[in-house]
Amino acid sequence: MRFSQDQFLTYSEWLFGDLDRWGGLWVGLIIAISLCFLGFAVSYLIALARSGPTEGFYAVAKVIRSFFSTDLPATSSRRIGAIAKLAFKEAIRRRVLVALAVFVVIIMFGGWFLDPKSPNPASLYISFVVTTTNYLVLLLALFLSTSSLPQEIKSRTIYTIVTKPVRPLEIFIGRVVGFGLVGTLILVVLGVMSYLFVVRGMRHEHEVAQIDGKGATGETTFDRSHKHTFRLGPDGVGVTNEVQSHRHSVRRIGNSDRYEVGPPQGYLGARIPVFGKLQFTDGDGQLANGGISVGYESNYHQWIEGASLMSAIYTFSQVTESAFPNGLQLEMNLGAFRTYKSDIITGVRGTIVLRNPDPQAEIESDRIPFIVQEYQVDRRVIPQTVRGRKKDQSMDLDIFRDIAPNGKLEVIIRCEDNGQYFGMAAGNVSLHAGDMPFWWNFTKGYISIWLQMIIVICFGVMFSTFLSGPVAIVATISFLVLGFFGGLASEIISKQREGGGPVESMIRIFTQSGAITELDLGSSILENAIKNVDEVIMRSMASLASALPNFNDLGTSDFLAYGVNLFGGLLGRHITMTVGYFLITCVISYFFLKTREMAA
Amino acid sequence: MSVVAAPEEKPTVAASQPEVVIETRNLSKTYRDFWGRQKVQALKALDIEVRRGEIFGLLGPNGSGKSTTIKLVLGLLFPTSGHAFVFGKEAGDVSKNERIGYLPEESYLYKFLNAEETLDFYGRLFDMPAKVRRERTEALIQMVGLQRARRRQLKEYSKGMTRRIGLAQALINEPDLLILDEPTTGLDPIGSREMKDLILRLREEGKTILMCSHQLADVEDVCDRIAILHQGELKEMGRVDSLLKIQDITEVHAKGLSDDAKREIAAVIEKHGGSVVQIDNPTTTMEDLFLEIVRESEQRPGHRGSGN
Amino acid sequence: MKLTTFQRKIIYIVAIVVLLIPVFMLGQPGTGGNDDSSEIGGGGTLTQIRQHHDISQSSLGNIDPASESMKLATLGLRGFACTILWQKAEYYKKEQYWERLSATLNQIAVLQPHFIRVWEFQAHNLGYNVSVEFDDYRQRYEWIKKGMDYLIRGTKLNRRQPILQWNLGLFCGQKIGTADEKVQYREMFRNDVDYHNSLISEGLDVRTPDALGFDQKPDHWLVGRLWFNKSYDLVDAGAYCRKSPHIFFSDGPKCRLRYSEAIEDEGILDERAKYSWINAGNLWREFGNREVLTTWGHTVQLNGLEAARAVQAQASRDFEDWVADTRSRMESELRASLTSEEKELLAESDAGTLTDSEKIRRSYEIRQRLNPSVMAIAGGVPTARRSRAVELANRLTEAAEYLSHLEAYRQQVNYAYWETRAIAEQNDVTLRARKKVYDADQKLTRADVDGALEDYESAWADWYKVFARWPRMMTDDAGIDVLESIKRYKRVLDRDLPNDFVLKDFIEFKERYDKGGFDMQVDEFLQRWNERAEQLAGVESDFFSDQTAIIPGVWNPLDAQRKSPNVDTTVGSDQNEVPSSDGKPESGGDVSPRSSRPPRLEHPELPDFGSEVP
Repeated sequence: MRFSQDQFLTYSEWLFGDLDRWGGLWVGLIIAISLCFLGFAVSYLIALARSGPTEGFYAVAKVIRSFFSTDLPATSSRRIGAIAKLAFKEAIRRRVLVALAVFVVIIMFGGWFLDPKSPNPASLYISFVVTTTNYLVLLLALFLSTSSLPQEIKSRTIYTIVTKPVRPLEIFIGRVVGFGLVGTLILVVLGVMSYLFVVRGMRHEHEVAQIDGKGATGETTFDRSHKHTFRLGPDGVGVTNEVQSHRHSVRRIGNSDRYEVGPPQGYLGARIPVFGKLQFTDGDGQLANGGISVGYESNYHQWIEGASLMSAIYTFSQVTESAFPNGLQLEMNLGAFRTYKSDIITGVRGTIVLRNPDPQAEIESDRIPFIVQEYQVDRRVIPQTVRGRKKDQSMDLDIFRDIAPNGKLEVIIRCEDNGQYFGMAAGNVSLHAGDMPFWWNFTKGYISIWLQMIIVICFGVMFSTFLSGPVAIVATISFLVLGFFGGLASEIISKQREGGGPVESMIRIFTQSGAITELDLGSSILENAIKNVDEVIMRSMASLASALPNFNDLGTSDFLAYGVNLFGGLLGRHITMTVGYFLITCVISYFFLKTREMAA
Repeated sequence: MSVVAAPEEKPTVAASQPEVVIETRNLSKTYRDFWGRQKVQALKALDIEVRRGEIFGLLGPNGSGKSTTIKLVLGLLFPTSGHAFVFGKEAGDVSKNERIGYLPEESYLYKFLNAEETLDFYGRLFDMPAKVRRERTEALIQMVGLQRARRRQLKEYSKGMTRRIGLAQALINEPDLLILDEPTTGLDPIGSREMKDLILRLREEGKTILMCSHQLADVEDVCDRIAILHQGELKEMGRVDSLLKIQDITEVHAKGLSDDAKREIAAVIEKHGGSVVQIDNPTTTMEDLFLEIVRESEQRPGHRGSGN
Repeated sequence: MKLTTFQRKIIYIVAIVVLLIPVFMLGQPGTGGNDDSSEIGGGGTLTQIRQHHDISQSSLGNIDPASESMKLATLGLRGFACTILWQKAEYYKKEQYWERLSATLNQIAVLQPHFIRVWEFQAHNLGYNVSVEFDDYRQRYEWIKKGMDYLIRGTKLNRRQPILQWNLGLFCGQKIGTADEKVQYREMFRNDVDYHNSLISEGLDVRTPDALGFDQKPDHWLVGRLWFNKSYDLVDAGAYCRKSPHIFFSDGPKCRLRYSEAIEDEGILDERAKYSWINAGNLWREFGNREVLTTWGHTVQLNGLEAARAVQAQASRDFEDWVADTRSRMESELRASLTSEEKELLAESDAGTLTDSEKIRRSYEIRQRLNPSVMAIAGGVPTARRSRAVELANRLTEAAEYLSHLEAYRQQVNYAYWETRAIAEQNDVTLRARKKVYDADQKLTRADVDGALEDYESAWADWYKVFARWPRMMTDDAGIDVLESIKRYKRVLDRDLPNDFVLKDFIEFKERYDKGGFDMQVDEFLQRWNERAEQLAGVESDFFSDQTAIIPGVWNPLDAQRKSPNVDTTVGSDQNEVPSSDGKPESGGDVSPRSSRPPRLEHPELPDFGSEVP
């Protein structure tokens, strides 16, 4: 899977940021403050139009004062509970449980689209169920949250609520809690079903198809579009080779000629990776800003040239014996690029060197050769004692005592084949620091779906406090679309992506011209006008999108699918953001409910 | 009926006249359409006072502004100009609701709840502890006579039962002020009678009641004072008994008079230039009064002037 | 005007009914109809169109429930969903999430199963573009198979789309067989029993003798041919295919030719290769006999070149005979109309003394003017004889056009080369030549330099004969192979080739030929090689059995300039035997259409359109 730099940040790094990057806390505060100003300005303008400058200001101030002086302190958990319970009952009554049936149908058919020949079927299965659950739950949250309040206003049941000492905040929070509970209930059921779907979907059996006379090596049957070969030890126990990212154990039963192939292993897991900081050296062996590009559209990989002084240096910290008691397990997932075919049978070769980060120490291991394995995780255990040099003296080195005495370790990777390249990214090389149980990672993934759901509910309920039902649904859908595709607007503005704004696109649909060609309407004034209008629209969309949650960033299905332990910092960040959005929507909803005539 | 102390809430703006529970000053409401254009002026400069312990009736034909008045008093609508005060607080203040019970026109309740759940839910909205809620629920169900239907969902209720549970929810907090919107609509004569008795009983308990209705008989039966609205204007306000008295007609009921005495009296009347119809002080019917006001107001729009 | 609720309702109802009428007419489901697919069995317009294009699922007998339920689930937003999926697929491709890519492609296909271009495009994506991203050739092979599997799924949902089967043939044959990794790929395919089984379960019997290679294992070229044959069957049954027919139909037989080539590369240089070539030659001839529809609307038969030439020559003769007087009259008139300056220019041009390019161009224009077109001549014929003249002129034009079309088509599929190749490769001498080169290469790997040189040298002699008899063999792959092995030989020899190197002419020819039309002298070479081949046609067996007939080409006009010291007199006699009167094959005089005769070597790039067409 591909990690963005951003995902590596720890919680506090994210929250407080550094010189290059604004921390999440500050961004949240900026959003909150600008919303305050914007909200005040807009409401004052409205009040101004209604009742003049002084009276209007007084009206706005009164509402704000009542928020702090009476309504906020008087908020009662019992009332929230009552409204939540009601919302829950109402949701159940509106047959939200149909969603469960839909999900069952989807995963029943879903199995058909999943390619059993895939080299990594678990990844496909997991990303399928997680994505489906995600969309389904968000949709559910959308419809639940937006229709309830407008429905109550329409049927006037709201009259009996607001004539009780119920605070606007309680109406909002109660609904969020109620629908959140319904969503949680459904998500838990979906989660359990998904888990079973994945676990059962991966389950398969082989038998021993053939085995050589001595019973040492053999082949399993061809099931589920694959088969394994295996080698048995003298004790009649062995493991198959890895096909489609899993293995089986093989065991001879007693002294008979019968063999038993165990269940698949290695499909589902959650590695805990330790990532390092990535630096490059250029063709002169000097530290460089990055590698070079070999012309791929995606800039994810930086490339180093083979048989040159170029190298990639990963600096790891906290490499201690207690963290890695069985030696370093290095996990690499490098890209390879050939400028000519060369030796077809052998892959591109490279070397690994472990080095003490202190240049004065002059301690580094000998080159450890490897052959690149693209698009799969190449696991390689480096024993604690390696052969190396210390000040030009060849000797045995202890990784933890000699090379990384203070827990800092440099892993240097070079490509050895002339004219061929290795592609590197910070997430490509990691140290394996143990495993989480799969179910726990799965749960964490579903927690992150849950957070997204809560955000959608918050926004849905917020929109329904001032919009009628269908309009609130449309607004929330727009919010979701912006959340999923808002990045597109900023990509187009920053010219990272071909294309124009909505007006231009609309014209192009009718003129049937592609985005690559210049817009040609025969009048440069008209064209510029369109471009400017688009620019304004796209810029406002982009800035709106940057304030709204980005659901792509909140999605963590890749972590589950590729068996990487979901970083605690990332989850913490999502929780914080959810709380932030909850607070913001709370306040906005309060003012809308407070200033709304329920009987109008 | 067991009495539970309503949550104590001291009015922040101490009512200058403790006797006045609801007061409207120059209360006006203009409905506007989506574009902000004036659509209808539902209420024009209403000034009324509802005093503690009385049953005040708002009377008027459909669209006369009585519902609007109630909604403004409850804070469901915001006045275009003027003010409404309840217990000395602005109508928009949520905390006033602590002491109010409201029975909406059609009992807008949650159809999927049963009677107990409904009362429990509204009890929670008053932040009542579970024990209190249970007691109040029990008492109110007894009071409105829904013992047998307490576990049935409201959607199965008849119209009368719905009114009764509506009233029960309005009473859940032992309100000092009850606002009843058309309390007897759709009830059969017996139900109507029971409702009226209940209202009178509540007054006995010292509650102030504001009700609106177009059922003239109800108003006549229960209200102490009424205000008659038409086309958003107050047409008449006063005590029911005095409003119904026709001043220029004297009704004399006597027993045991001889024919001479009658003739003598007739002669006295004739001497004074009158003619004897029946010696009596008759009352008009509410209906007559109402129709007259409506007719008059249509001929001469404007305030009819009030007699107390 | 204000409408009452009732009026509005009436208007809505009327609108609904009005809208329903076209929906009903378009969407009415078929009543089943009869089995004859050409007859459309009722139903609405949509059903009829579906039946017409054979994409109605019910007519396939098996409805794909996944696809149907997905269509329902997207509630008419299918196009929208596909667009999003397509974008996602593009993203996955860009960011190299290959498994996700393939899963997304499957979803797209499920949503829009009848967009043939999608199947083609994305199969190509998988088999060609994604496949090469992998460094490990085994993974690359797996992705080619994924591309094929994707196409196979496509064929199941689109039974009457020959283009999908044709693509499968291309994947299975060319993609595997012409890749840099072909040695590995071919080997893997041969032993991929699991894949063979899956192909069999998809209805392609890869264990028929037609698909088995020399080692009795399925060979991908031959399996590819099976796919091509499937698509041919569909087209023959009336399905439409947007490929040009001559290209389309050439690919299947070519697979067999390529197979023969491939096994020879792998060292199968015995009877098995020979029979394979015989087989391939027959298939190629069969293809040549096929009536192929051209873009001009008529059909051509690719092996009908001789006949077409004869027809054209005859038409030319008939026309010239009929208009001889008129032509000479018109020519002299035209000549008379020239200005003196123009005449001077012509004279200069005849003398070959023109150097100024502008003048050369003008002289060319004047010549053009002096040569009236066929139609102009026919128009100048006296009235009494004119109608016949026009008829003859038309016939001549038609014949010439037909010939040019035929030649263009032959050129496009390289018909002549493969025809010659199949014949030549059947010959024992060719086989022996190849065997010796192969042996020499093998000996080189064992460092047996002397043995290798010996083998090479005897191979050159055989190759010389092959080229002399079938000059075509010098072009294209066969010639390149020999050139490559000469290079290896040269390296082993470690010095320049001797002046009397038996294939010197070949090397020189090849250099000039490869330059194409830019070499002014290549025509002369062509003519010489062709004359020689014509002449050898009769004495084939003698030539090949005669060990002494290894003769550097004295006949080569350039030889004299080279002043080769080693002029073998036997060659001279060889050349002397050439009757000069016979050396005019271009004239079309020799029209006996003998199919066994290999076609002549033609000028590269510029097909010989018959110089006689005025």
